[in-house]
Amino acid sequence: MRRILLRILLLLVVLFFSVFLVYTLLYLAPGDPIGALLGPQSATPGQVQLLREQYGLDDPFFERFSGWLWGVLQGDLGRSMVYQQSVFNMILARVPTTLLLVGLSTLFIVIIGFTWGTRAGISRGAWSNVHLAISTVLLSTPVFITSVGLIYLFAVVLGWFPAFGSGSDLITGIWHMVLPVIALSLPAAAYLSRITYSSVRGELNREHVETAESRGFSRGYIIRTHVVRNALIPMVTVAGNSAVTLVAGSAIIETIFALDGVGSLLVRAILQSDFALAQGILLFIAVFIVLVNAFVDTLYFVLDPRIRRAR
Amino acid sequence: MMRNKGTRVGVVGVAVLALLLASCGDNGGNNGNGGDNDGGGSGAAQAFDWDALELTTEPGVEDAGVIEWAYNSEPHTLDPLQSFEYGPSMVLANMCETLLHQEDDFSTSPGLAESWEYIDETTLVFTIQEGVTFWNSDPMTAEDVAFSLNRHLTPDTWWGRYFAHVESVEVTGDYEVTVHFDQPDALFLSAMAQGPGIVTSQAAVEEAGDEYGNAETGVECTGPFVFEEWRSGSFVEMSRNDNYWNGDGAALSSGLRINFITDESTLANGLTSESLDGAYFIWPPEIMDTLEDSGVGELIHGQSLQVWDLLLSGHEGPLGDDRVREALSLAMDREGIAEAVFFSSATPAKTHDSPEYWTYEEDVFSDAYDAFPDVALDIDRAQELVAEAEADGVEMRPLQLTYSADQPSHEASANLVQAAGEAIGLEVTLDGLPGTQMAEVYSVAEAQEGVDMFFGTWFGVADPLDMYSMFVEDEVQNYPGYYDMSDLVTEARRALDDAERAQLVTEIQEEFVDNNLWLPLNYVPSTLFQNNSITGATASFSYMYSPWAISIGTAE
Repeated sequence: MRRILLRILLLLVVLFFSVFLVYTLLYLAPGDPIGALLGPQSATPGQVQLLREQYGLDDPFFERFSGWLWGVLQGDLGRSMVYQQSVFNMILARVPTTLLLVGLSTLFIVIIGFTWGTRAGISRGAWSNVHLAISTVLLSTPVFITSVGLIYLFAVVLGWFPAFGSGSDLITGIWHMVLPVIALSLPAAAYLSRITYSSVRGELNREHVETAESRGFSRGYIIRTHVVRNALIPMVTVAGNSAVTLVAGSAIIETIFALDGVGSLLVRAILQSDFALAQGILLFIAVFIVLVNAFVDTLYFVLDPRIRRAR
Repeated sequence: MMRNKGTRVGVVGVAVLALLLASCGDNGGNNGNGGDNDGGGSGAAQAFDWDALELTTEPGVEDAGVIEWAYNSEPHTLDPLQSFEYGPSMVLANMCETLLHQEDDFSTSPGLAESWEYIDETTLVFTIQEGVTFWNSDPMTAEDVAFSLNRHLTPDTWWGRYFAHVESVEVTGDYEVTVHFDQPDALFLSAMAQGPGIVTSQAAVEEAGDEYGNAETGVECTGPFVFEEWRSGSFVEMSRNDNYWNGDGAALSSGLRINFITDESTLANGLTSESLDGAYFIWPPEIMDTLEDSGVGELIHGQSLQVWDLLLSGHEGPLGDDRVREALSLAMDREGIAEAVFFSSATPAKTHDSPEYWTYEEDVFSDAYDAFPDVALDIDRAQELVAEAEADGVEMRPLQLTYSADQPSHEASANLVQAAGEAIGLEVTLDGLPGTQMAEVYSVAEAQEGVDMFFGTWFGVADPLDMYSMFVEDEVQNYPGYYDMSDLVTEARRALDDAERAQLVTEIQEEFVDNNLWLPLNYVPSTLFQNNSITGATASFSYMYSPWAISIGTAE
């Protein structure tokens, strides 16, 4: 129990410093939301001053930050200056798209990375060379290149999938997600398959596997119980990390596929110096990362009896 | 303080400059390099045919269902009070109507106001249409109209410049609203055909308060399309208003969804894969070729009010000298810019107002325009002018050109201006800023410090006067701080009589051109792409303010 409390406390400290850091960076960065509010039109100095006062842009740094923090502690993420809307509602409206994108991508990464890596790991010769070649190409191709290629082939030429947008319900939503999910997860899937490949290889050469082989167990049984099971720990770590980086990577994918997710909103919020909105989204992402990490920790617990006993 | 100095130099320079320009004018004429003529004969440079710009497209035949449209910028809010940007304007155009209607050719006709009349020069009476209802079935009353206009009178609103001389707006009858001015304002009626003239429901605004116009609340208006949903980051969806008051202007298709697509390749792919039915603002121009070659639809250039300007702000430095400004203008390869930056879809500009602005006294403006010298490239003369200025002791410090680093058009133009400067002995340093910071340069005086020039796409209400109306005192957009024209501009703005105003505006044009206050570079058409399966969208820049989707339907 104390461990858990300590851990939560630590998380809160990490959260505080990350939001403080981001606030400071946004504050120090040139430009302010007035530019975004004004757009290409011009305003009189009076209009500009009025806006500055309205949004407290001339208040001292700590006053602004503590005002924001106090609001958050009371459950109020504030209002977006640029969009004139509650930050909480704006994020809430966009969470489903990002969760669907990241969730499906994680699933895709785990299935593809795991089966492909294991398959390559247990076979010898050509298979593993082919695996090496393909995964190297996928790992080193930036997602925007993959995206453009996928859109061109499957949306423009073949017309199988839509080129943009996120659909209007879950079914069309998933259909719209096919290309973004593939584009987003291919590098991570390739990476996971590499990790799986080497840990399967590593396990295959371990003594307990040789012992099991000499005792005449079937190959399938050995792979399932002695190889894959032990190789799972590094795979879960990598999959967990991937889910976290996917949230960051989703900003690019969401822009290319015109998806109304949290990532593209964050990019715009930062470009427009929309403090409350950017902070709110970062807080959301931080909480998401914390939750994923907690989930991965729990998985270790389930997968490896030694970790269970150590506690 | 510093600004006055620049002004005096300006006065001295006028007479000299007029002479210089007269000689250059002949030269330009001989070169035959004018941008206004179509270059169909030569065929070599594919000069843009300005006269071929469209106003509209063939109306659709039948209901095409929900039209999937695309636009490259999402509004921040739909509150008409803040609807000055491209995004909110083009989205509101189909939903919220204005007192006067702006036709495709930028002329005006009755809108929500059936008629209007000046009782005297400072009293304007609108008679509003009877039987108009908001989408929620509430009747539109004179109170709603007065309320909508009065919202602009609270200090410092976005459209404030068009309400600067409005003293009060009051309801004077069941269907009558009277506007009182403290001095006559010739731009007011033109503004009533654009964003400032939108009528919105008083009850809805009061109920929603600060939330009015945001993605959750939307708007309550009278137009041919009804607001349904705004999915932030994705689209605004509207449905046909089946109880629309004006039968002639009712929508053909059952719905319209405007998707906000910021990435150019996504836009190109959406259109070529036919996931999208159409789009305005085909940008950047690089994708025009892809779209034209795709064969899935037609790329249409429309008449427009937009001018691509090199805005000169620092009249303190070398640009305070008339000869230096003239030299810079002579060194501008406007054809080259049209070709390199707009892929030949734009045309060189002689004045700050393109012919589309001439909604009255067209002959007067047309004659004046023809009399202006053609904008021909003359590097030799420009070099001479710079050398002369230098010999007279003008300190040739490097000129700072600030531009938006986010936009290819800015960057490409900046490089061309730098090269032009170099060719005539002017050093130009480039300073690329992120978009939001660039926006401050347009509007915040401190951000303009140290900046000598920057680019801008300029447009105003459909009156040539508006394109020069910033050259008065106390106007933040008077970047050079040029006040010599202030009285003339003020006089023109007071001139409600079209003939009188046209005369005054031509004098203003002359002073603007003679002094090279700014350097208008290109007139930029609006761009529209329509899939082969549909037709009927407005082609002209009027799509910013008038319902542009009502005639869209199936092509056959």
